[in-house]
Amino acid sequence: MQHHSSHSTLDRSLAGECLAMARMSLANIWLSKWSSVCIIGCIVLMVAVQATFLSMAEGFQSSMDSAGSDSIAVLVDKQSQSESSSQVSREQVELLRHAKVLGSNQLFSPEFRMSVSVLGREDNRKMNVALRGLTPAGFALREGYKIVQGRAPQAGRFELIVGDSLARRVKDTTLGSRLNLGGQDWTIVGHFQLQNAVFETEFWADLAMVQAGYKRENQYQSIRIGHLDASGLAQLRQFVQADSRLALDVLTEQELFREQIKDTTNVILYLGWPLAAILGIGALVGILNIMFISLEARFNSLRIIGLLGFSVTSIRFGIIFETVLLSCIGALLGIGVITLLLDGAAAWSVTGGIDSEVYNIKVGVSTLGQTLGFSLFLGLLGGLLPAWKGLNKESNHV
Amino acid sequence: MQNTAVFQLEQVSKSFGNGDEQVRIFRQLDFTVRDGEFIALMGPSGCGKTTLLNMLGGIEMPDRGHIRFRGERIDDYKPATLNQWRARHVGFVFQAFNLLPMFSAARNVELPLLLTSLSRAERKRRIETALDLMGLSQCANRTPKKLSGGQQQRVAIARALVSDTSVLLCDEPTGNLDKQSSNEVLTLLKMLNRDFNKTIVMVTHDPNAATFATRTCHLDKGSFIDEPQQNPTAAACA
Repeated sequence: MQHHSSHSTLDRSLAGECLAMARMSLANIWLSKWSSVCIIGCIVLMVAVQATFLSMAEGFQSSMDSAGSDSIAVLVDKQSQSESSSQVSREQVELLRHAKVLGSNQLFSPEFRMSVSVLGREDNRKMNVALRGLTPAGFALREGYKIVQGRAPQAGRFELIVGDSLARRVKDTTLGSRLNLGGQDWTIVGHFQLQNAVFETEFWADLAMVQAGYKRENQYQSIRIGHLDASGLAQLRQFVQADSRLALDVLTEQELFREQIKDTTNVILYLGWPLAAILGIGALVGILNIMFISLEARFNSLRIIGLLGFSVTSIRFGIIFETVLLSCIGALLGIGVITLLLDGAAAWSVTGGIDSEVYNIKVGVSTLGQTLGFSLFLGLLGGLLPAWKGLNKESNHV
Repeated sequence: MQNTAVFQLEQVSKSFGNGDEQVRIFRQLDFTVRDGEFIALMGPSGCGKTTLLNMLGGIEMPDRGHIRFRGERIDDYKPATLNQWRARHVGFVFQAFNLLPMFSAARNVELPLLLTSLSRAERKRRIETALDLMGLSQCANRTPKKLSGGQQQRVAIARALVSDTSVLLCDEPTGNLDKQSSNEVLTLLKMLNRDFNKTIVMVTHDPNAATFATRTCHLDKGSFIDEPQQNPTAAACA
């Protein structure tokens, strides 16, 4: 304890000071339990909402990413760019059916798709789903199509088969049940599965019977043609472009699904991010209030730390470290809760008012990264302002 | 050793507030603290005792005049340099103890050492020595609220000592203590001054506390008053 003996050991480094301040912040988080819990709570709420939307978008995208074949062409109305709003005429179908550009063995499937109203199995809630009319070629063009119960619908009869995923959600879909769709009684004769369960969300029937049932004998919505190699697809595109009567877009199945993904994912995100931003502002205000009050209470402690020789920069670092750490804890808790509640849960997307795809909600790297990043940003802002303003008067003394 | 000036205040003026609200604390004040002195600063409330102590510690700066520490001006130091200088040379003891409530006595004492490059083992050794010197070996792991007022103040002194600063600045260190605890703390300060050659400047209202000092300086209206010193070793203030 002799003075002058150890001044050489006073080798200050800002990193060392910041580390020491981080340790103090950890202790303070425990000491100010209720403030810490409030900050964590604000972030958990915000993250829960944000992660819900992001995990829906991520799950949808992940389910749809690998969907669709690049050797199947889907032709839809040029005006619409999507199957649900497309209209293809009988004349266009016949022009293409007999086009020289298509080989005689080419699978050719004009299709008609209607939105029909059915009742939910659990809650009797009305829901809109798709009824698709197909030819035998249409069944053959679906990857992994197989009948898992019953049989395929017969031509000339009002018979339906139902996708396995849809059958679990909709009332009266057991074999032999009758459903009244568009004033016509239909009999369920089978359940089908596909390679990608995302698309097991439709009723399928004989094309002519669906058109007859809805009195749209001359109307189609899309044409599927397969299987085409790259040059076959290019020739088809050329052929369609060259004939002004064929005002159709030629997309691969993959391209069509990607368009659909983009629209649906965007809708989810357009809803999710503004909501998260509003909640984020609320969380930020909460953090700021709590931190200002907390700093007021700790003013004396901070002053002492300053008098002991800690720099204002390191004290500010300690405050920011505290809010960032609390935000990180809140984000991980929020993501944890959403993972427990929602990860893997089945959800449906609605396209054009029709429950069209089933997918699994996925709390993956993208959701984790975005929610964590946003929370840390809020934590940084929530610490920066109090650290700056709160220590301005402080720095006059230290 | 005792003749070497540790602090020199030269023609220091200090006031607070602006315009009509301005209160002048000091006008062209001279003051010297020599190595190994234990000075008691006394005077009525508002006379500038704490302001003087704060200026010695680099917490407040004069409006005019200079402050020198071992011959070097500190009043023109930048804040970061001043922080470093303070950590190296000055320990503070306050009336309100000012311990960090979330830390044990040992961790409170360790705080100034976190600014050094000392190893964990060396820090531990120093903490034990400081607490032992203050008679607090048994209380190392207790948090402040589990310590008495006297014990808390002794932890604060241990914290001020642990990085082996040459100067202790004490602002009413016994102001919150009963008589017995006050005497214990003052005896420790006296021991640090006598046996470890610590230079101590202590602000106090308590005449009994001043008897532990080697020199007593009375401030009134911003100036030192010449009057008989209470302690026989006393010298002139300015």
